[in-house]
Amino acid sequence: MTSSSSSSNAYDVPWVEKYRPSKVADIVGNEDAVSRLQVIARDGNMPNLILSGPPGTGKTTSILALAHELLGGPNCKEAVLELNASDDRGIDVVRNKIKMFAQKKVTLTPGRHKIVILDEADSMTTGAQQALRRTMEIYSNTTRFALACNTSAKIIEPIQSRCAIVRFSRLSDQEILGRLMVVVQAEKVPYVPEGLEAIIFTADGDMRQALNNLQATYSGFQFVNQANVFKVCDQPHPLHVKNMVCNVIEGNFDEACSGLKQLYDLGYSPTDIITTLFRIIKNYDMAEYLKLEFMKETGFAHMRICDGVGSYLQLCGLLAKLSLVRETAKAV
Amino acid sequence: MSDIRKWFMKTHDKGNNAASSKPSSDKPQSEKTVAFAVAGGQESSGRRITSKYFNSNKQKGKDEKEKQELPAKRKNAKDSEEIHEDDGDDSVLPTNKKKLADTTPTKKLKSGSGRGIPKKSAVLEESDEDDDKDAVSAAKSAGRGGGGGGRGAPGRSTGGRGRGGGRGGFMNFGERKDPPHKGEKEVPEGAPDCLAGLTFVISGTLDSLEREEAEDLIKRHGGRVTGSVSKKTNYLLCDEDIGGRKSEKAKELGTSFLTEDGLFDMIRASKPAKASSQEDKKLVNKAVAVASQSKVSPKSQVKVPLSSRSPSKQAKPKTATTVQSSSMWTEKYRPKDPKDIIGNQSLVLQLRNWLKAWNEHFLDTGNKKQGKKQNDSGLKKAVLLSGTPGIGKTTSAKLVCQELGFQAIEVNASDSRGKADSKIEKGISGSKTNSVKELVTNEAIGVNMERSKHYKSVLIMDEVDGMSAGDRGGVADLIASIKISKIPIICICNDRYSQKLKSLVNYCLLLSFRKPTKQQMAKRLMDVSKAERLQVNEIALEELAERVNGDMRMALNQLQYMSLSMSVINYDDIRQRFLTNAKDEDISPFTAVDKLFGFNAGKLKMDERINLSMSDPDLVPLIIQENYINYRPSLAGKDDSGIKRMNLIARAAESIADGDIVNVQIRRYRQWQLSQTSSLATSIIPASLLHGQREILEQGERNFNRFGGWLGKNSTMGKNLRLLDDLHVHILASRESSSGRDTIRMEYLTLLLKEMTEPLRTLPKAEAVQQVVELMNTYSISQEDFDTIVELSKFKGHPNPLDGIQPAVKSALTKAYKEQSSSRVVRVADLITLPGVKKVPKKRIAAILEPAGEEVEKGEGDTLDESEEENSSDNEELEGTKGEKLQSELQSYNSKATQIQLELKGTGNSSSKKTSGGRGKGASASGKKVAQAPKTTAKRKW
Repeated sequence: MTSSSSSSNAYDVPWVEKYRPSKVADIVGNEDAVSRLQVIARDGNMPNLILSGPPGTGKTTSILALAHELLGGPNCKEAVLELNASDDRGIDVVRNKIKMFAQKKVTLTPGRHKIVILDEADSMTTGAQQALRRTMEIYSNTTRFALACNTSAKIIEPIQSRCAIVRFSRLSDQEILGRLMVVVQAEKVPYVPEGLEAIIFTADGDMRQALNNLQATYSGFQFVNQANVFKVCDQPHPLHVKNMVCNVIEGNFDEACSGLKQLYDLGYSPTDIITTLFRIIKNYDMAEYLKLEFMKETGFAHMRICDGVGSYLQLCGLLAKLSLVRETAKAV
Repeated sequence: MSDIRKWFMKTHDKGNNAASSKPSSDKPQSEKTVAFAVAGGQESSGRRITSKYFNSNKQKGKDEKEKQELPAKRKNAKDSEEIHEDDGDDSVLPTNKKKLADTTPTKKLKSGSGRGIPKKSAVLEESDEDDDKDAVSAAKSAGRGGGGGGRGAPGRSTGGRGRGGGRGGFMNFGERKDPPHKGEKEVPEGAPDCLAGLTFVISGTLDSLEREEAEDLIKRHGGRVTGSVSKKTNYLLCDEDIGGRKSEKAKELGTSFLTEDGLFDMIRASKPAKASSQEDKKLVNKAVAVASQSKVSPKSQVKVPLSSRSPSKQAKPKTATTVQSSSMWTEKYRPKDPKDIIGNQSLVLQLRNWLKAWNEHFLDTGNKKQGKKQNDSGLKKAVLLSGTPGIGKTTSAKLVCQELGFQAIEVNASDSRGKADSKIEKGISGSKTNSVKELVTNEAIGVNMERSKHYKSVLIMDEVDGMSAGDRGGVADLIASIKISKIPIICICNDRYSQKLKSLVNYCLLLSFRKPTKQQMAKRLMDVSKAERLQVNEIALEELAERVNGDMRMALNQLQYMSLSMSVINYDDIRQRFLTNAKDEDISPFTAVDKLFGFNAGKLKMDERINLSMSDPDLVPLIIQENYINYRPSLAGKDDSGIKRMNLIARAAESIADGDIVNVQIRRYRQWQLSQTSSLATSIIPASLLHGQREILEQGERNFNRFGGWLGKNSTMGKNLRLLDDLHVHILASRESSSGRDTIRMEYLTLLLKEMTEPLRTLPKAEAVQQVVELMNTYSISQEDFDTIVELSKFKGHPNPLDGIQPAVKSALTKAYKEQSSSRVVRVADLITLPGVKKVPKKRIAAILEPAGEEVEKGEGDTLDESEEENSSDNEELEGTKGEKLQSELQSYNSKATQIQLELKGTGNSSSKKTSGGRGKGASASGKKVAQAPKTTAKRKW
């Protein structure tokens, strides 16, 4: 048993790559965008695209699947140029590599064009983006561009003007669960429903993180349940921090302190705790004046932690300040 | 009781007029709006009267549109104010305690803010000289100016949703009421385009719909909504005839009145009975047909698609898939002729004229080979086309060159444009030095073209603001190329206020391309949709044009993308599309601050607020700190005594100070993870405490957000420190004081100012001038130092230190000071040699010791010689410096005075008549004169 599992683990590839869809129809979530990409895959004449959205929502997978469906066959390698953050994408690369690729002649069927895939385009320099804009226009009869980025605001406005922007949003829990079940059955992973719920919770709409966490939990513990999942994930439990905030708001100071004690004893650094606390407070449903005061106190505690005072006493002091603010703060 | 109420109403009406005139003080209104309450008027008859269309040329049509736009905006403002006043009248009678949304201040704020955009830019341009950040903000502000036009409509619609407590019964004038039956009626769903061809104007408060909801309903069904009544208006939608401006004009022009129920009936009637809807459409078609017959042929061509679309609607929609071509729509429908370019026709004409005249002015003059050129001040050898993306700059340049027979050589941001580019313009084959192969290709083409068609080439330098680190020295080299070029050069950029292009702008003819209007874009998009067999109505295309903010290329891209899964596109489809896929424009700091302080700021999520303040993390806090006091917080609600507002201002100020503490951590210790905390403390908390209506605090102030004054004050402080340093050096050189700079500023400056200005104000002219000049000589104060002392002593609220001084006295002082400059040559020469503050004492001591050595040697000689006598007097002065034997010092002064009088043989006042103090002063003055002479003598000896 042990030897067989270790030998099988030695030959495992990341499940993120193993189960990456190769067809547009198989992409999970974002139905509106995926349906349009399917029309492009069927009819050709792909417009320049900017695929924008949070990590792990299928942007790169969509582009690669689309390129594969459009240009699958012997010319696929010659007609697709893919650059991502690991490649140098300064202004010289755009002037030489991309431009020469755009000038190259490849025989394709009507309605098909060469595709330049620029993954993580928001990390391109402004100069490189400037150099790209006229190239996209001059060679638009033969070459189309697909840019993937997390924040489309980082793309300069002239390039946004030349592309159609496709927004990818976070996947819903049902969509992630559906895909996880496919992988779980294919890999014969023993699980309980609470374990998958924990994976979905920690993924927060990120399919890649969900698959990686699933594989890590299975590799480490051979069984997917809630306890094992949270052992693998290295962030403070958002629900735990949320309970702390809830206890502070409801006046249960002792319970909030005990929750903080648990986090601290688990070995989380004060910076992680304070960052998660800030994020939870920012999205917590409470009155605005109270939220702003809470965020303010958390911010100043963060400043003290950056100065090197990161002890448990400081964190408890923060909770005490939040409790005090809850009682003394007023709207006007 | 009713009389008292009328009196209050009259009083408040005056207040309203006064308040409304301030934002529009530049445009005085000829007529004052008189508000009068009318009981609910009778509804007008339901019959529709279509206003007749007049025959007019295309240009006149455009002119009329342009003229109508500006008056329409003013009318909108007036109408809204008038409507609010009427609403107030109605609300007073039923109940005084009812609290209503305060919308008038919002609209004033918005309109004032809109008007102020050019002035802000001017202020920014002036402050560019102070700091580099100003230049950056100026560029961004220019970007914001471009978007100013689009902010008007959202501002007006936002006003309707404004919330805030009322200021009491009588203070509720001018507020918009909520619909009485809001949300109670079912909104009908009619056939699409059942309102096509009809124009509506909404007036007052409707029965159950908010104004924006009514607009969406009308547009969803193909109708058009405008802000003012005109001859083209079909219906005025209002539930009460309150006798406002719109109502008056509607009666004047014969426009039909329509209630909300009437609108619902129109929409419902189009759905169940097909026969009746067909009849309505036929009527509409007849009207359109009549109109089209009476118009000029170009317009009738435009109208034909409208009439031809109606039969297709009656028929079943075609579901056949369109055969896709392999071109992008932006290339397929690119204009092929300059006349096809949307908007900017006058600029295209200017470009054509410039290009036509280029050869005559720059090539045909003088010898061809040597190429002598005229330097007419009005003519430029290059042109700079600037404007936002997607409005046709590059297309215009290419089409004009093509029309005039020029061969365009294009160099853009994908080419290397360092200094090597200059060889291309010269025609030198320097291709071997360029490492970029594409440049070789371009250069080869260029060389061939230049040889074969020397006088028919144009260089299009596209995207000149995209020159970046790889193009070091590119813009300067481009300027050099423009000077020596023998072909025209067309430069194209997006942002002409960029720092990189500051010097280039001086050498180019500037043509600023504007965004086309949404009507112009909608027409072109309609042609494209028709060609692609896409069913879209004109209202939806206007919405698309508005959403892309004038970017024609993006509009075509979005339309092509949406056509992949839709063959019929509605107004709602476009709204839905752009809610999720809006273009990310660059938000200027002013826009961010406007949103944070706006009435809707309370509804923004925390993440949105952080993004707004992070759009420019340096300037947004400065603008908030500059303007936060001007806001009347909506959180304060009813606040008669102002205490709540003052408390909120205090809390905001404390938060801004806290933000400064956080910023020190970020900038000094590089703790960038605190940036969200910084934006929270400096921007989000102050804005959330004080968001609401902005108002002016001083007379003559403009009611829009000012640029941060801190930058200017910081620059002024730096300048004053430099001036104080100069004064400090001079006072040290005089050896009258050895104080530090701070001590001079805090303790000496007040006294010096008093001593220098009081005599000029009180004493006779000659005596005063002499006294002040002596003081200036004593302390080595120059004329510039005099001005510095006066300038550093000016404070707000205090009188000018030079008040009360006669101009004749000032000029006499200047003249007297200059007359004595010859006697100060040696001293001034001494000052020039002073390299810095620290070295002054050493050099001064060295200068003193050197002649002393000389004197000691010569002192051994005969005492009867005159020069030796002078040297001995210097020696005595040195002894005086040591501070020994004051009495002997005084005696030596007296003896010196006697000797000088004998030597000069001049008549003077007898020293015996003066007091001992007077003798001392005279002796010291004489001593100095004697002291300077031996220096001159010593120099001569050397």
